[in-house]
Amino acid sequence: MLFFIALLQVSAKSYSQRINLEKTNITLGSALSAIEKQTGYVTVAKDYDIDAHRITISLKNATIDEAISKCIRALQLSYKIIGKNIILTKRRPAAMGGTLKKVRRLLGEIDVHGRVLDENGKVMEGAVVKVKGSSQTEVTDILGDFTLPAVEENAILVISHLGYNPIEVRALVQLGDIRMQQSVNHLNEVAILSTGYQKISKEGTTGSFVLIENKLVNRSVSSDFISRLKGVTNGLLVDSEVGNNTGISVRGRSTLFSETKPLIVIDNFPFEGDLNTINPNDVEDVTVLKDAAAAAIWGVRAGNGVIVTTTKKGKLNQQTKIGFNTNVTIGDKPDLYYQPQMTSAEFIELEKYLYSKGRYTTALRNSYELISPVVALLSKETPANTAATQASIEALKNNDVRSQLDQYFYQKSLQQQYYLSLNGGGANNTYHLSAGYDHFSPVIVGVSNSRYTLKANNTYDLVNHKVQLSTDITFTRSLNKIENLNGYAPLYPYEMIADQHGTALPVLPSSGLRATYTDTAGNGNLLNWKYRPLDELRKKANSFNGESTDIRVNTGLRYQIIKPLAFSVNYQYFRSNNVNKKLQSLDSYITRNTINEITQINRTTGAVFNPIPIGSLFNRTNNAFNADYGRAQLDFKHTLFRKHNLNAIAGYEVRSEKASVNSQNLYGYNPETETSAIVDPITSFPYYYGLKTARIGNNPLAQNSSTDHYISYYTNAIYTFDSRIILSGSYRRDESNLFGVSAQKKGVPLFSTGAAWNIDKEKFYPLSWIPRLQIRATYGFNGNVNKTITAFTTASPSPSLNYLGLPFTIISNPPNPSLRWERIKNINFGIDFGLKKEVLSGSIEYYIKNGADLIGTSPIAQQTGLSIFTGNVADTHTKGFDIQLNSRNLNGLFKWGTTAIFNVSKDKVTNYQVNTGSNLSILDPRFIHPIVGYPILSIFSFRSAGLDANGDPQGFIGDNISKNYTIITNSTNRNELKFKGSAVPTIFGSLRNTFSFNSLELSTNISYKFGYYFRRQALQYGLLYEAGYHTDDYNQRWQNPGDEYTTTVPSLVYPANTSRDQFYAYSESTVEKGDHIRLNDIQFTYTLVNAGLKKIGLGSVGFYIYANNLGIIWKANKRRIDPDARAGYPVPKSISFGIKTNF
Amino acid sequence: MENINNKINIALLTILILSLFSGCRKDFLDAKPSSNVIQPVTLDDFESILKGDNFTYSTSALPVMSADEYTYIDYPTWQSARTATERNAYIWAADLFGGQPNIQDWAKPYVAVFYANNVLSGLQKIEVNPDNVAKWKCIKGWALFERAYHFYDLARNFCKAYHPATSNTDLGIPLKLRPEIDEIVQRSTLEQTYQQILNDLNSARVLLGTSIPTAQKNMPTAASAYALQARIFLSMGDYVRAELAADSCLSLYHTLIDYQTISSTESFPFIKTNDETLFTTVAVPTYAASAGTSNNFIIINNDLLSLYHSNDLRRKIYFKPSASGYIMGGNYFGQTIFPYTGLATDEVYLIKAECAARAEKKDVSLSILNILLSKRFPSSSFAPLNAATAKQALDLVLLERRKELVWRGLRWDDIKRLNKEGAGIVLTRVLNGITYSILPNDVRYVFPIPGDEIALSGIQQNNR
Repeated sequence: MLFFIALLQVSAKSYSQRINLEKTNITLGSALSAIEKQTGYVTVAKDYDIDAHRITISLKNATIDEAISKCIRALQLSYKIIGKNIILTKRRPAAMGGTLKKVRRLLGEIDVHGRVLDENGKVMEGAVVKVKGSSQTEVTDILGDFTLPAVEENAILVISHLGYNPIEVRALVQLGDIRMQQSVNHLNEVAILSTGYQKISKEGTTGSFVLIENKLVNRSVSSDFISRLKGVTNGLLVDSEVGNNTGISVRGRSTLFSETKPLIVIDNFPFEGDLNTINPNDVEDVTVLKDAAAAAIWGVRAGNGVIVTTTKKGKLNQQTKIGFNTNVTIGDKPDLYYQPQMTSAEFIELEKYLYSKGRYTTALRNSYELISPVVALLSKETPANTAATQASIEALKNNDVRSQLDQYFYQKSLQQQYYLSLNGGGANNTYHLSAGYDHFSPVIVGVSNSRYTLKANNTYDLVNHKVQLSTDITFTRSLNKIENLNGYAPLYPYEMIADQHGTALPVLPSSGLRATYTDTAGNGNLLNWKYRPLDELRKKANSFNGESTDIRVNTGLRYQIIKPLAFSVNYQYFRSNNVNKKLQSLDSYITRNTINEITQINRTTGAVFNPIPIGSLFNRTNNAFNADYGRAQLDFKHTLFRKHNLNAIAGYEVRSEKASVNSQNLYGYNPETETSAIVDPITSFPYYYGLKTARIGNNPLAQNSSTDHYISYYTNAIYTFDSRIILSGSYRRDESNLFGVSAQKKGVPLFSTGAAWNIDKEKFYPLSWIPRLQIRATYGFNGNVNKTITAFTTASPSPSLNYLGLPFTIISNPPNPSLRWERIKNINFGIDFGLKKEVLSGSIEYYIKNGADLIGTSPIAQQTGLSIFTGNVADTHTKGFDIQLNSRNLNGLFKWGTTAIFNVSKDKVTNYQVNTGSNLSILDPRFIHPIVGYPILSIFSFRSAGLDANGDPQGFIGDNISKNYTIITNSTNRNELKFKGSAVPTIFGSLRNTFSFNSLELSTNISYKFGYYFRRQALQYGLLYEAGYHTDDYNQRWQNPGDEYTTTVPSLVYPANTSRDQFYAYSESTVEKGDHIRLNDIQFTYTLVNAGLKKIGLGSVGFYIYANNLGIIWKANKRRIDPDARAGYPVPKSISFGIKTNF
Repeated sequence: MENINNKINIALLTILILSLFSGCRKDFLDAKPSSNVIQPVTLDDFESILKGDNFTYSTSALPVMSADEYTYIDYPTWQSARTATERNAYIWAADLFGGQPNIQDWAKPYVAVFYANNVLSGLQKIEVNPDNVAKWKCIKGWALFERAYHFYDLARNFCKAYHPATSNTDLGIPLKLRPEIDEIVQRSTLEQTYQQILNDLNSARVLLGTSIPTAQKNMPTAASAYALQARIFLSMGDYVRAELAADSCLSLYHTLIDYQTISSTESFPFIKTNDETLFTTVAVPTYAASAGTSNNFIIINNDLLSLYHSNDLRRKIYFKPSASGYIMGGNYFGQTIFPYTGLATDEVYLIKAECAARAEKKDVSLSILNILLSKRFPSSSFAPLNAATAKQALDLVLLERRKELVWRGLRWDDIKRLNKEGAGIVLTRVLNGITYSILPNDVRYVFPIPGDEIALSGIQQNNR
């Protein structure tokens, strides 16, 4: 909070050149002299009698420009400020003398005055007023005023401003106020894009950018901003298969194993912190940089596209505005029955079968090994108690643990959001202050997240607008609490965790011990050895507390050296500190088991020794991340001979990022006193049961840190000829300290070049029905960093001790001197167009991305001592379309607009130098094994010939049907594999309809994904016998001769045959088409603006409702599988209610 | 004018600031990227690498699982074995791995070779001077020894038994001698394989000088180098050189443990750093079937148990009674459950005794054998063995060898070697009414090379 106060004070002092004047009907002369007194400026009026006119003036904290403009408004004067002098001159049309003036009157020429306002009545600076059919143009000043001299009477004026509907008016001497309406669906016209290095107008670029403006950012309700890009961003895919934790990819994948996450830039610098710490309410807009011309300025980090986020700032000359936004989101409980699974009855029958086959013989030979409740009953079955045993087993068949899981472990989710902001600005400064609070209780009982954000942004214009200083401070504190860290994953579908009174029942923990053993083990010398998940939930036995504090300080100083040239320095400091505490009390089974397992009891004396002292287990992990970014940049902007415009930057950037982790494990911990006991980490203690020994953890203290240093040089230039032809070029070199590649220090040069042609501005342009038409093309390179690779042999201390209890070193990377960083060649063609009145507008882009020197990992012959090889072994080719169309279907009182996004992205591997081994390893979903000519992530399958008369799955060796699964799976003949398609959607997009009537607005968003496949979970008997019961096709298995005609699920065999299981699991029979259409969300807003509200101090009040994750409309697979939820459950539906007010 | 001067000054200042930046550029770009990652360059770095567990838990468990020391208690237990390899090894199935990938028996020795090659290649860049020469020799000898040790482990499992008549045509192993992973090596001849092993071992032995074991049993000494030579020569049937090596070893170090001092009731009777241990390795901890001490579902064969005299301390210490029979207990690796496969003095005594018998030195053979046995019986009941002929002495030694070196992975090699000399040992197992057997010199005595190695490097597969 101190920051805020400090900043407010600074901003108060900076009001140095402010003018206050309140006078009615005074002469211009006396007004000017009053201004002179306040500012020290001297007014010089050469050919004009300043006392001839009387004016009424009201100035409050006005700047000198503002003051003079107001004074001379409506007078035929113009002014210039030179040094400390204000020069007033008569405004005269070019070379027109007094006599001509009369002639002019005769010819019907007039001087036109007017003021341009926006729909809210705010003055608009920079609106272009053009006389239709002539080249006469004027631009509105800071007060929205304009004067067009010598305009033909009856001429038509066209007033336009980016983002607003152009207006045509008939010329009058006093036009008065002209109101402009913001245009609907003006996504592609909207003005200013940020690359993080410079701001450029969309029309003046050659590259491929997508701007998500504020209204679209705020369309959805969420606590993070990344999810708000979903479904509204052209070229952006949200899918679990994209390979990074943000779940997004820009224009497909062009790397195999390196980073796939787009670079996230927040206010000019890369953001490496947790994206959830960014309050989306603070985001003004987002620019996505897609091709080389757009992104190459980010060099080796730009290979996956760049997402540039600009946060909110105040506006010059704006009264203080207070905004308040709050909403609450309620989400459904998850559907635990979504994944079809074996019933309890089926599972029990299987256990009985396996028991009869002797599956549990080994386990039953000792007294402690885990067996299921059914096996325990069976093992005690005697002829005398058969009836009772079978009855008990039958009773278990009625249990379904999911009903209790649903009752005790899941709830409806609740999310609350509060956001307060204050912004405004004077003539020389702006400010934006905000505070936010978010609270989220997800569907899992005992979990809660809170976030507090504070932000202060100030800008100051100093020394006559020559120096600009900006500061931006963001503070975020996040608290993440999990009361039941370990959760509960049932081992058996018939487990019960509570009786009918809600009393917690013991269940069997995975890798635990037999119930009858833990009933009596230890004769009172051990801690209770039972696992009661419901008790652990209720007693908060396993708790997790995460606290993170993030501070981001951004400062910038810009100095306009001479008119076209500015020098700026930016510095950002970012610090993120994260403390995670995990406490497992004696109420936790894990704690008691850890202690019990190696409790030492002297068999003769009976003395008990606990190598792990009785008490809680405690782990604390601190993560700290510090980053310093510095940048010095020259900006050059100049127009020569009216037609030649050059906008160029060149700069030097230094980045330093340091991350450190340290963690501590404490035993015998007492949370009250925060004390712990010392343990012996070297000795191997024998287990209480069985013949095993264990050491108590390795190093109780662990810490390490990493340092990334980068130095970069960059330049970017855009040359525009007569607003018709645009040429662009950029160059960047990155150097770093990464072990990476030996060439790193020489730097990685990357460049781009591009051209655009505004055909509509050509004289010969014939298509009057398409008033806006631009074509563009770019070419260039982006890079991608892989921090895991190294050109040298590297080694690191082993986290564990060797068998003698001594530390040692392991080799972490073999040498590979020829490693290079990845490069991605980008080619982009684009067309932007707008029909009359923007009834239909849009852009069509075609791109090619060629990944070269891609780093690949692949299995390698084990004779090398490794099983995985990493090197620059691959090239890929990606091509696609990004199409966005906006239409205004109805534009009367009732408005209807549609935005359609259609993306095609197809990649394939064009070169892969590594031998990827057997067909089985190609299909193993845990690894990526590229095959030349196919998508990077492909769905291949073993060719399947269905089941034979015994229920065995059949494959092919060559063209012959075979059941020799070992040969089939180990084959390296790729022709024996069948290619189904890409594993990532190749066609995707969305369709958004917006309806509005007065201040009511309704919009819906439908998204779709096509052209891809996925492999569903398949029955593998080996895994089924080991543990898992989530096997839905168990009841479809081959059971009787003839079943082979109706099912593809193999018959049950015991013991399981791994090769047979794998063959079936990776055969054609388990592939599904992923295509689907989804109703993402519906949003409804109602905005209230009226005089009554104004009286009570409210500017406007908006109500909104937002329904999210509404479900699938259509899908290709017939199996009830949501392709976005192949494991677990689909994201439950949610609905939000919110209010947004302005004061 | 003044204005322009100011501007020039600012521009100059900017250039100055930028050039200052470039001044510290080198240091900035030389910063260490990660605190726990090093580029190993010093002798200490290499020593720390050699101390790693990759050199210890590194030998194949297949010989233990294939030999005739144990039995699965019943058919369901065999069926419920975790891996196909365990099941198949028990019945000597031709398809040993049953489609299982990433076979540690092949991979782990090569990991050790890769580590050793990295050390050897790093050592080339270290300048030797009087101050570091002692340590340099120790490290280099250590690395060479490790490479020889693990090459031999591969050769004995994945190649035919050595025979000078066919060694130039029999297939050896791929001899990876450089750390670079882009080099794939095809199989050498068996002759080349053994020459490489013996050359490495000889160089190591010279570098290790006359060192004898310390508590660091993962560090080889001259005594261990001789012991390994003795083991290899014996398996090659070169009994003369085997005896010489055994002599050299015993002259440096010949301590035996008196088993009267070992408790037979402790869960883990031996300590890891026991006095007989020369160099420690353990079988890969992959298969439950080889994890003798923890299993009660595989029991020690009765015909092996019946070989022991009732007073023999080894029987009580090595084996533990369980519900289903005797299971493996005591182990030279102390508190672990996987087979000890390293070198120890008892094996060297037995090699010496065997070679002496084969050289018709009956009395030498018996006296060596009796020194060993005197430590295996209570002093009160120990009766030295006698034999009329060298052949009888040899039979006694071979019998004691079988009883002494149980669960050490050596029995399989012995069967291979002795059958080659005509011993005619046939192994049989009965499972679910079916009898499985493996005849002398069967091709299945050579394990197949794992399928993923064949698929990736294209080396020649063994014929099974």
